[in-house]
Amino acid sequence: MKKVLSCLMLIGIIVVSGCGPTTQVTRLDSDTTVDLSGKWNDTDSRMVADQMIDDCLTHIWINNHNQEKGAKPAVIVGFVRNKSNEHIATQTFISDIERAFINSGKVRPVEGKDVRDEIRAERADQSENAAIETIKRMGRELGADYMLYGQINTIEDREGGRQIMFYQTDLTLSNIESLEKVWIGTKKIKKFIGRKKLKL
Amino acid sequence: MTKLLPFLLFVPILFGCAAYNFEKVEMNLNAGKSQEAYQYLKKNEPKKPDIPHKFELGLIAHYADLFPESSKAFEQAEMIAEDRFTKSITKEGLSLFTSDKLRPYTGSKYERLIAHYYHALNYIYQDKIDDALVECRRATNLINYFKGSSDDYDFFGTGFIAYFCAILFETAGEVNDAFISYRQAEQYYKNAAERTSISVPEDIGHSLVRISRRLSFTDEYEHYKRVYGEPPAQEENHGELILFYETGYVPKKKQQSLTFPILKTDKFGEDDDEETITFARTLRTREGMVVEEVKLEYLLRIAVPTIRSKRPYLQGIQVSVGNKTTDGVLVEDIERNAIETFNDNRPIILLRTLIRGLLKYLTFKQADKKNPIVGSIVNLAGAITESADTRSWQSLPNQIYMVRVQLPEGTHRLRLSFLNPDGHIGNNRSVSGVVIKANQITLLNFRTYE
Repeated sequence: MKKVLSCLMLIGIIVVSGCGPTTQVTRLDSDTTVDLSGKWNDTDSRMVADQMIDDCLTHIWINNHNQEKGAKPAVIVGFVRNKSNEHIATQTFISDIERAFINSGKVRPVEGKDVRDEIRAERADQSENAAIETIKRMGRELGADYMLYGQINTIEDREGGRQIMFYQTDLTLSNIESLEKVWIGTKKIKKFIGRKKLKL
Repeated sequence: MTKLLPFLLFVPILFGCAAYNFEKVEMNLNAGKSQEAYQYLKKNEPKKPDIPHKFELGLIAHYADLFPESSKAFEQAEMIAEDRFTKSITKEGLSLFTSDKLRPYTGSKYERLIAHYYHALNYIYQDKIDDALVECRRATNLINYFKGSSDDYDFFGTGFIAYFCAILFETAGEVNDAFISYRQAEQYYKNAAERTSISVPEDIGHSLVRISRRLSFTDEYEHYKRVYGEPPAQEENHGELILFYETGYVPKKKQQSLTFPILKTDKFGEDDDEETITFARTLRTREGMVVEEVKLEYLLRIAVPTIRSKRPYLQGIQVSVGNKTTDGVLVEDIERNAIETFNDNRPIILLRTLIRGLLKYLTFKQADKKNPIVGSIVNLAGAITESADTRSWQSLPNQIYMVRVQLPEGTHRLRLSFLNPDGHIGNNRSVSGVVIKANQITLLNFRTYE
């Protein structure tokens, strides 16, 4: 009798515990690499941006520009199209690229379209409402010499519990005046995602 | 009181973590209160994220115009389904002693596919075409995975999803991807046609002609033109309206109790060599058999899910703009997908149910030998826990029709006429403020519940 009751109670407890709260929070350093689902994550975004910009800034185009113009090139990060099969926050990736550009000190990044419009609106507002000695002037923006743009693609191969995710990021830097492509970079990431068929 | 304890502990198994009553959702939807239906589902969310709840939440949020919330729910549903690729031995084992409801639900293949249709529409309505295309790529990968996982894949829902994705690729100007998807849609509709009775929509053929010509694929163009004929010419300063009309509800699974007699002459449970599966097969042939009381050892009661056709009152659509009226074409029959999928799974469901019933019977027999009171408790516990797995995505529509029509650039008022089974107009609605841009596609979906 006791054995049967214990057995039934155990089953009940297992089921009841399945519905209970299981949240546990642990703070991590933002540079820590944690792969949970195998999908594109913050580490991929940061790593790809750093490595590609590193490649971009050691390329010959930057020396050519410096020699020709005698000044650091002004670069605008345009669009990065997500052509993958994941919802990738491309804005985060763009921010990572801009950060890498600024930290290098080799180029002068300028604001992209959305922020530019916001700042212009602010300047227009200043011209009507700000104290005259603090008004920022119109027509003094730094025009970009180059635009960086690109896309992220994925190829997925899957069989049973085994999955290969292949990410390819392509970035192109083009001269805004001449439309000449001065640099093309590619970064590939390959991930294996394994799922067990059974667990306890 | 001690005797009642085990039964109280079984209560959570019966109700699981599902805390919502779909009838309340349905009542709100039928009354046009999708916001209230969403709030109800949100309030009665299971403590642990689960499907089909996430599917229901995603769809109802979609109808309530809460597109980010809807996408979030669909995203979670997909993650849960992926996680459940790994089966839990504990839960599989326990389900053989209790109920199939204890097995984690992953959603049917057609359910997982159609989630991408709604998920993509969420992004379309937020003007995020790139994200909508992500959903198309994910759906395409999922179809490829399903195709690769089974030699006799049923292809339910694949034709419609590929067709929908082709339209989205075309909307985004990704013409080559659109061509591939139209071609896949043609093939998938053919693959499933025998069981779904939906032939390849004429528009797919015409799109293949149109796009192969645009891509200068000469051989393909000649082939498709020969098969499908020349499509209607694209008018100048016109755009296209594509409206998906979703009608009714997919039929729900219901529980049916069955009894199988175990005879005194049966050796099952006495001989260790007796195989449960073999005896379960024997029992299956005795469903509802009348047996004399003297020959009867035990009446095995089991509960199995059933599903029956429940077509909606409105089964078609005509869209009128000015003097122009266009008929809708049936592009997806979710009811057929649900019933056919269920029929495919029925033998294994019945077998599992019988094995479970026999295991309960064996437990009873062993307990009964030692102590008849304990035997009775075990018998009662077995009966209480016996319930059918009727889980499914219940808010899905019964059928989806599509209307594709060229309209002049500008803002239009649409008159929607919904057809009853006789083909006569059963109800009307109008939708105003529909913006058509030249050489672009405007996408809409509309749902009725009657």
